[in-house]
Amino acid sequence: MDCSKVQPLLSAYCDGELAADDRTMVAAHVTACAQCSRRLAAFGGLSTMVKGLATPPPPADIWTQIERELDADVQVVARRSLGVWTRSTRRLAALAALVVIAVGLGLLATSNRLGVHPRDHLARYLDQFQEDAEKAQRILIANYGAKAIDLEEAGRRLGYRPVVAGRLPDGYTLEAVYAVQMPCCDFMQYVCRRGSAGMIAIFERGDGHSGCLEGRPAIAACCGGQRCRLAQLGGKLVVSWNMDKRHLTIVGVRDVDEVEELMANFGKG
Amino acid sequence: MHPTPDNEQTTAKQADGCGMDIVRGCQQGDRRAQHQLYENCHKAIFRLAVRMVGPQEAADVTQQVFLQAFRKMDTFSGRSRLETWLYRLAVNESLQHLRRMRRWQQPRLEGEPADRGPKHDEQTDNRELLDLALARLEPELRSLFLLRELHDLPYRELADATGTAEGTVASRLNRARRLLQEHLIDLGWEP
Repeated sequence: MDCSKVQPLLSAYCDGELAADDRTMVAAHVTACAQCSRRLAAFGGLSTMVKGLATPPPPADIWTQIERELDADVQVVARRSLGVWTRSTRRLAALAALVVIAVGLGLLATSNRLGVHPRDHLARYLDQFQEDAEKAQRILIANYGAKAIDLEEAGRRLGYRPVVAGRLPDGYTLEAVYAVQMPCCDFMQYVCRRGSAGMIAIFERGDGHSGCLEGRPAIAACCGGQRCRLAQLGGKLVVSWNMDKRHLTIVGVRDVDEVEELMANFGKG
Repeated sequence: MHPTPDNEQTTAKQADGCGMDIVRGCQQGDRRAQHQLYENCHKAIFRLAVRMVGPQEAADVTQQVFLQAFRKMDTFSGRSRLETWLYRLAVNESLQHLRRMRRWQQPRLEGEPADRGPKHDEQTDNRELLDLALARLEPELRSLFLLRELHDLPYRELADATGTAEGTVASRLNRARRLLQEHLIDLGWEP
């Protein structure tokens, strides 16, 4: 057996994972070959070094945090399965119903006052988003110069770390980042996939102002202790709120539970 | 193959003994069973997480691993050991965490192969170099290497834990060791 055949087997030999015949042949070769013997010794040295690495003890509160989350899981399951709503959930549901009525009656009346015409590109984007997020994105690209960038570039443009960097909840993946130049202001837009169940779009600007994304009739609400504005959009919700110096708007939210989950997630430090 | 320090032997012992009674209890949402599983396995998972995502993020990753385990315990088929299944969750969670953080972290633990001056504490220097070199390994290779070296998983379980074909484990480990050695030498390590 020559070195070219032995060297690929050295790891498995080192780990005791070779079949008996190969093990015997490698052992014989290594005894006679200085190069392969040195390589084997180096693997052994690496192993010793790695096993000697110290690890700090795990923080004592990990289990406490896990229990807290498990307790929250239990409450959500109980609430949904028994149909028991908390007072805040009932209030939000009532408010959402008002929004539906308000939108139906008031869209045409208020849209001009708020400067949003039903036929403008943003309204078309919001309408289209529910059916086909990719098609909706083309509206922004064609009319608002939406340009695909990466998170680093978004951070440079914002002057700080984008809200989605390292903070998307489990089950959500970032699909694309855009810089969008709307008539009022510039936004960073993060298009995210929710597992295999649809998309949300998160708009961020760093001066705390809502700009033109809140042109639709909306209601003031309180989700998870945080003030926000909710609007109905077809079968989904649009939520906007201020977080420190950021203004965030999320399009395509499923329901109030998801609103609370997203707001709580991004609100973590 | 090599003796392990006492504290790591304790970790290895804790990783054993996750029997089917604990699995059944966790599947039924029994808090005592969940806590028992956590007590048995959290140090091993944390240890892997520290080397994958760094000490600052390891607690978050560990927490997520166990939450996923408890929420998905129904999907544990019993074909592999429970510990191997947990390692799989830990590897996946670490890799996802690294992907999320990738563009926002300055290269972690990067160093220059500078003149290190007199070696007044060679062991400490070597450990620091090793940390730097490990950080340079691509995450998938790093996880495979760490599970083998720190957790002594046999190749069949390594394949399960990392989603790698068993036939390629040996060649990937070979590559990981070779690359790690090259990184160490680049960083100024003298074998």
